[in-house]
Amino acid sequence: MDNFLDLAEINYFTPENAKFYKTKNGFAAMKAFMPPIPKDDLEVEEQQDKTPVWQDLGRVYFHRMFPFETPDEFISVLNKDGKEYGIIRRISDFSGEDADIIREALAKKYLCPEITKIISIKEQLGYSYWEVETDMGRMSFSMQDTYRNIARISDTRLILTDVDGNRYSIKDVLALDRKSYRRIELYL
Amino acid sequence: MKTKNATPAEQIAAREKALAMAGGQADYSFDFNLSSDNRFSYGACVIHNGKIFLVCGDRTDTLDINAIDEFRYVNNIGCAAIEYTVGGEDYELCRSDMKNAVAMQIAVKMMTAVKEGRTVVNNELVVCPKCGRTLKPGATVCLNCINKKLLFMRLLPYAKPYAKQLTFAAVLFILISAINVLLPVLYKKLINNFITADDPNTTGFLLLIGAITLCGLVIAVAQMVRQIITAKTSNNILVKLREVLYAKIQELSLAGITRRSAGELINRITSDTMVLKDFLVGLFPELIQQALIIIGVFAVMLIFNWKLTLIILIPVPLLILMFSSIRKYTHRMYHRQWHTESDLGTILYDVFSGMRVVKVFGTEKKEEARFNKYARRVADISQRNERTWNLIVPFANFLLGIGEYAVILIVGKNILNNGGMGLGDLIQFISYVGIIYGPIRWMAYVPRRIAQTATSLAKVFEIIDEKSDVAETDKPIEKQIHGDIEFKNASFGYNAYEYVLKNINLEIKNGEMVGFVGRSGVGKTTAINLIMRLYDVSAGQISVDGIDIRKYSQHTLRSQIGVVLQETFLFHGTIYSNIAYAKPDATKEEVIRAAKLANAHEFIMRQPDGYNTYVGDRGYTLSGGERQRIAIARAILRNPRILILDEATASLDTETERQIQDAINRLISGRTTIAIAHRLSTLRNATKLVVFEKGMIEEVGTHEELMRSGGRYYKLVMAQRQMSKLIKNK
Repeated sequence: MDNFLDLAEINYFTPENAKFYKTKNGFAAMKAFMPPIPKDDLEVEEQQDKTPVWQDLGRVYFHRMFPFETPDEFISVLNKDGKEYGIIRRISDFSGEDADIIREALAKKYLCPEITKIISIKEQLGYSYWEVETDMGRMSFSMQDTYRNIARISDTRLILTDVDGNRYSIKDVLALDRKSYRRIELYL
Repeated sequence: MKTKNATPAEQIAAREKALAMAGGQADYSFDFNLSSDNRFSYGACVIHNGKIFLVCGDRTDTLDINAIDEFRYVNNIGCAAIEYTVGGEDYELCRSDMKNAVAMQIAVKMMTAVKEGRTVVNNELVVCPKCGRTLKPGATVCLNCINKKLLFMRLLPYAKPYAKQLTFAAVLFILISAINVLLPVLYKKLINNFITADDPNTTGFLLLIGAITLCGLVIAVAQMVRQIITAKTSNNILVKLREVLYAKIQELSLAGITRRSAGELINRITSDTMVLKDFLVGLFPELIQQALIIIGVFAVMLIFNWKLTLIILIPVPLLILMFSSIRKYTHRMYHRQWHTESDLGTILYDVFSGMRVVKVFGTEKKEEARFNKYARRVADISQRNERTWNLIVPFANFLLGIGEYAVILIVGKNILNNGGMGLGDLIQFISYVGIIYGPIRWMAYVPRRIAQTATSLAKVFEIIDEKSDVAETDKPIEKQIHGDIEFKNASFGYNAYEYVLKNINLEIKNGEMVGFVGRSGVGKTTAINLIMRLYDVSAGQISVDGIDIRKYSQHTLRSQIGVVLQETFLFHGTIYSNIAYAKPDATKEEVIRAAKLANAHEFIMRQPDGYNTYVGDRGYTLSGGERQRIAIARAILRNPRILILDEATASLDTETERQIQDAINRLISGRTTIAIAHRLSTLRNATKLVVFEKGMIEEVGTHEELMRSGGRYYKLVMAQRQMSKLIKNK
């Protein structure tokens, strides 16, 4: 083996080995062509039959591996207990219903309104009170320790976390209108 | 302010609709604000009489709690949901953004309790009575609505013991102010009666000069004494406050402490109290002093010539406005500078503490570039700030000067023209103008400082007011314990919606050695923490000698439990003081015996300074095994009735482990011992093994029994044997 990183296997899901469907109540679920999932992690590995078979995995959970950098690539597919079944390399590998199910499940898991305009920021007693326009409508929220709760993903990209734990994104802070930029400039 | 926090009418309508469905009564209710496809909507849920009443937009739903198998709180990213299961099929009850997350967690706990036939008192959701905001768990005051005046009043009890000194200081304050008001009057006399007079009287002149000098002297002495008194009393108040705060933090449960980071707690004891000190020593006395002087001057001026006085006052609000806007601007400037400087500090701290990693991976150049980039940024910003500052300040002073001179010009002209007043009157007036205008610049930033102090004060009192959630009962039992431990239906969760331990039933008799086995994260350490009462059970109970541990005094209970953890913490000090830590009144002989029992004596004797060897930061001068043995000696010294070993030998080599195992075997006879170990061979002496899985007990029995039954323990042993076989074969 040339590179010992090859020792770690990654199970990529593709349209050839994965088929997504919805449960009766609209949760994402899937069927996959892969080695049988051991019922108990104490089963000693050598005793297992590793020949892949089609199996119904039931409800699955998605988790972005690089939520800020590549939200539509590298998506981990997990079971209820957080054990990984495999990885979706790109959502665009899938089409039609499969892609729709993945996108819908992600949209339900990640809520992060995009701030398009900052109407006002007031600071008082160590808290800041924000009034903003987002892609989901007008919102107001408050932040504690403001400087520290603005994550600088890149030179222009920001993620704000408010006192309750809600997140707000600013994709490109330089693209904001002048007034909005002046308001947030202090925290950059 | 009011409109911002107001609940939208649609939300109130949803609440009322849900309540009406429940017949106007609710055991518990909460709001949610997302539809199932994560769009904003208005929803409310009421739990009453074993039923759930749900309103979400136009949709309504009624569910019977008993018909549902399981409720779950699902934490997503930026949103949360409640899900439930019926017949293996998952359903979503409701979803919300994080604003209602705490309320939803409690709802799940309540619904589960109702389902299991328990009654739950809803005392966890703390809502600010003023603005209705749900407070974070652990927070007791809403910083949004806190009353600043009341906050400052709370400092009074701390000042009470110094009433005498403070009264004296107040007298001095008044004295200084009075003299400040008096001085210009003396100047006036000096000029009118002597300098501009035709035949000055020398004795009177000297007398007046003497009076002025005396005034200066009195002010100097009074100010000195005042400063000494205020500094002394405020430092005393600060020390007291720190003491109270520190004692309170120690008293809090581990949960209360871990909810905040160590850094935050340190901040509250050091920086927040420091801000208070700055206020008490510096700002507050100065404020009183200036206020008294201004009031005095103002009164005298009014008596002297009220029309002119009012003219003088006209520009004052303007100037205050000007300086507060300059303040705001420069504050923004320096705020930025401060942040970039602190970023630079973080980078330095990062690199220096990770120097080994940097060197090993040869990334010095990269780190250098990173540092340079930030250093450059700091330099740029501070350069720009200095430039702006130097542009603003002289200009602002010039403006202030113009204002002052304009007033003097008008007033002076008036006084001279109106006649009846001399140059002395003018000088007196000018001095008063100076006294009133002087502190304007300073006053522009007083509100900010007061706000800052109020924040610190609020944070300090938040901790002082916090109730420990591991509370002592009224009459705590203090007695020698025997060592029988029993878990009765004990459940525990670090947060409201997830139990880490579920329905644990376990009996451990005095003299038994019990091994807790299972994968990491299944609740073994949590079970031990519960026995030590670092946390209290969420449901059920744990008893020692048949008495609920919550009835014991915490000190009595813990002083009879000895603990050895995997990660041994040694305090700054000698080996001796570290062993004696558990029992400060131990004799030297006892310490030596404990060290011998722990197989530590020998290696201690190899140290040049024996028991007086200094072990520094976390004891890095000692090896892991040596530190472990000191920890065991520490536990032995207490002669505990219950001994707890949490992975005490996990990170050691076989020889050291054998030595420590020897020490432990000596220790466990006649005591109740609970040991957690991943290496199952270390538990071969256990009289009982308890296998944990997913927060529950899966198997209980001796090694032989469990091997025969072929369950999880058997598999674990087999897996470990295979591992060691693999290693041997290689």
